[in-house]
Amino acid sequence: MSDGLPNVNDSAPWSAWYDEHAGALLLYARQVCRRRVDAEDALQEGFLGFWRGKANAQDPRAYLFRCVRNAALSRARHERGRRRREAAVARPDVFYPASTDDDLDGMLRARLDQLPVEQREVVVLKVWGGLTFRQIGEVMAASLHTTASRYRYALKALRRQIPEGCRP
Amino acid sequence: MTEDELEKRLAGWRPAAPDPGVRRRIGEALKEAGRTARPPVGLGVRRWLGAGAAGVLAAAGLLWAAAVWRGLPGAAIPATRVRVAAAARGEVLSVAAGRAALAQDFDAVIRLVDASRGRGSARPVAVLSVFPPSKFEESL
Repeated sequence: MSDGLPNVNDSAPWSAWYDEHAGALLLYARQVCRRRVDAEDALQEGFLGFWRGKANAQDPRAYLFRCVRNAALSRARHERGRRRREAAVARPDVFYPASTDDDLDGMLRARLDQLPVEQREVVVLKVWGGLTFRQIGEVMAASLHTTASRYRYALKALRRQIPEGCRP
Repeated sequence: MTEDELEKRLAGWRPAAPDPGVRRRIGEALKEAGRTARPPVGLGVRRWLGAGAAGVLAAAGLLWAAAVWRGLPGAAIPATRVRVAAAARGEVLSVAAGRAALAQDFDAVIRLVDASRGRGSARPVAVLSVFPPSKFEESL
């Protein structure tokens, strides 16, 4: 996972950008588009938009996530009615296919799914996207203080889910 | 569990990779965009052909202009030259009158035009002196 420092430089080919961020981008798109196929379409559309406009972006990394966010939001608006119907009959797909046997991980994932979407967005961008709070603010059009607060609230909510004395 | 420990645990989760088709479609789209960003080969050929055609037309135009200037067979004699020929005689004639004068007395016109040398009307002399009267009349 990213350590917060970009592994690709600004002049890297599109494939390097994609390979570096595809997983996090898909995860981020899925915070808005619950269906995997919709999130993948948003990822594709957003990435293409990013690549076309990258030259003019002050922070290409933040711009990449913002492009995917915009594509996901746009898609979600069109799919909202359908998504609502589907959500009523089906549990959203598992977000993270890493080990699911662990009870604690299972609880945390369930709790993460229940967080407000803006908190989930910040967690995804921070933990898996490796973005700074300043970059997250740029992606979500929010202040640095707001994004940091949302992150803290999210971690606090997740920690409440952890039983006392549970070892990491 | 501290916040740091929680963050590390979360970071240990691996987001699902997108379907390989997404990568392929992005590659194809960017490749296609790259193609359209450059002038297509066909367009380049058409440009060359267009330039060639323009060159041919320009050359033909120059040849035609030269033909008119030099009075080659088939080229029309501009009315202004007739006017020059008449003016060289000290007369102001209409184009029609100039043509009539030329038709009636070609030799006289030759002489008149010859007399106009050095008065900025040397070119019609060359025109008139190249052709026999009948040819010149036809060209009128």
